[in-house]
Amino acid sequence: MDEVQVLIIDDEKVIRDGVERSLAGKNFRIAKAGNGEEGIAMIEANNFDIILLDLMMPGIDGFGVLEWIKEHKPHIEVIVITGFATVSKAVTAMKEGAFDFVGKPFTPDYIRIVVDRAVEKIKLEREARRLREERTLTLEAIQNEQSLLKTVFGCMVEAVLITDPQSVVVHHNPAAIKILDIQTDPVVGKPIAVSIRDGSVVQMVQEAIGDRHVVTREFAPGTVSRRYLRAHCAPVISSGNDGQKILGSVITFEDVSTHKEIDKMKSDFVAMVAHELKSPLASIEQMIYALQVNCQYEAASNCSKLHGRMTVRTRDLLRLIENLLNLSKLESGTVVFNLERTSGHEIITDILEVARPQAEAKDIAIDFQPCADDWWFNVDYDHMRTAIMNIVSNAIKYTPEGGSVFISTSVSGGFANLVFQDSGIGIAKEDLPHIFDRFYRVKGKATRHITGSGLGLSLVKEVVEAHQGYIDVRSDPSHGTTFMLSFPVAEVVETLH
Amino acid sequence: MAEKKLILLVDDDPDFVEAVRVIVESGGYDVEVAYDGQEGLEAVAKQKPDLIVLDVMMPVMNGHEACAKLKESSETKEIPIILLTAVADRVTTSTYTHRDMLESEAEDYMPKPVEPNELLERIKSWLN
Repeated sequence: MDEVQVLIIDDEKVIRDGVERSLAGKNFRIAKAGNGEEGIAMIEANNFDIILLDLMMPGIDGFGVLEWIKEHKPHIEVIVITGFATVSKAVTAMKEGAFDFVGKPFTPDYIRIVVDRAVEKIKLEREARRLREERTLTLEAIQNEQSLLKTVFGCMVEAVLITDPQSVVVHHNPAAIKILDIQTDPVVGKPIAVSIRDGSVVQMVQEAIGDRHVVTREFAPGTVSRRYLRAHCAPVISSGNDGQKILGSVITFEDVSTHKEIDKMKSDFVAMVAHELKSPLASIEQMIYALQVNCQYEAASNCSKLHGRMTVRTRDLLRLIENLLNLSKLESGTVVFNLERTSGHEIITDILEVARPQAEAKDIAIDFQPCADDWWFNVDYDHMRTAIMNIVSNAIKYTPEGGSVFISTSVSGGFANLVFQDSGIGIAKEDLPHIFDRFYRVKGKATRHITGSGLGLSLVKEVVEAHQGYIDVRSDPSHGTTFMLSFPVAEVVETLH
Repeated sequence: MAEKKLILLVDDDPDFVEAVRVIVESGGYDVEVAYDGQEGLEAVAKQKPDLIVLDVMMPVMNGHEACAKLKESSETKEIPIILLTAVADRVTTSTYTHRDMLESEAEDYMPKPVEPNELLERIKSWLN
């Protein structure tokens, strides 16, 4: 607090000077008035904090001045000085608003104590006022924030539910009722399981709260509601002094039905186009073959060479369309897998039989080393064959003449592991993360003459994952590429050693 | 000189049929054609071929049905049938699957499009 402004009003100069002396040397600026009228004039003109006021004065007496102060400057603290030291007058003055009283005669110490108390009171009042103002401002800010959030919350298209740590709903927005087809009323105050019957939603909330991370899940129509929903569940964590504490969770549901619909339309369209392209192309390829039949006497001519290329390119195009068709089917989820118990070693042997001529043409040695135990897995034969065939034919395609392809299998921990290792041109580090992307092809000098659609490996990945399998790739441009596939095995027959 | 053997080609795509006809004729065979399963059966009834090359996917009557009908009748069950499937290289699959092929009563099956020498070789081996 700055300098305290003190006014002494007393008709006796001795008293005025005595009080002034008592307060000297402290942080006071002192003014003096010899009677009530003078005092009031000074109070009007200046800002005083504390007034020491004699009650008995000629003219306007102390009570008159006190009344005037309380009416016009109520924040000024008044300490009355009374010559009689009569409690009754002092009490009357204090009833009328005086802070305290000093009886004459007084000691300097006593004056100081009383004035200091008044200063203290003023300080506290100012502090309290400041806090009050601050609180009002904060409350206003909070209220603004709240109404802002409330509006955002209410306007959101996404459904939002907020739970406490026990998965009891504490808040939700109107969209939640609409999107989630909730029948419960009210939703707030009840466990989320009461309003959303789907067990995996409850599980998702528990997972988010238990593991303290965001959980994202999709819900097909007919599970949570009639819509296709994508949900995110985030734990609400407070990081106070006593460590992290879970306050609950926030779950948002986004209606992605339209996206899914468009996605399906896209798949259907691709499937339709691909299908329509397929049959004319197949006929064209057959006609190219037929032309070659009549051209065989010119085997060494350009005609024959071009026919050969036409066949290759047409076949690539046809395969691209087939892959596109299959990918779109896999994506749209319309593919029905006819799972049959299939011998792992047999399917590989079958594929290698078809692939061998291709390898021999390039003088590539194929070495298949099956593990000692026979194993079976439940797969759709055609899809699995396609997938593995793609891997094998890639290995041959991307391995230069005279190279080798090494294939081996092993069984461990309920999984069969298939390893396809080639001595080919390898895949550069920057290309490696993209090789399963659709239409991604490694461009460069080494691959210029290798044709392909860039769909093969994405198809492989879809098929492998549809069979609960895993695919991994390692590559070194100087040593070649290794693909590793793992599938859950249905049965292992150990051969007697 | 021995009489030429008769091969019946059944496929709904005329261009495809013509292309295969050129290949088969180059192997020294006579060729009769039909454009769906039903027509195929009628052609067999009119003149019994020595071998049938039958497409799987066809309107009116598909290859599997036609094949089953031919194998039912004692008159025609001895005729070797090579089923053609649009599943390119048997690498990818469309409507007809490996399982269909295994359960089919046809003597042989080949992916479409067919490689000329391979087709002629298979025909030759089934005729002997």
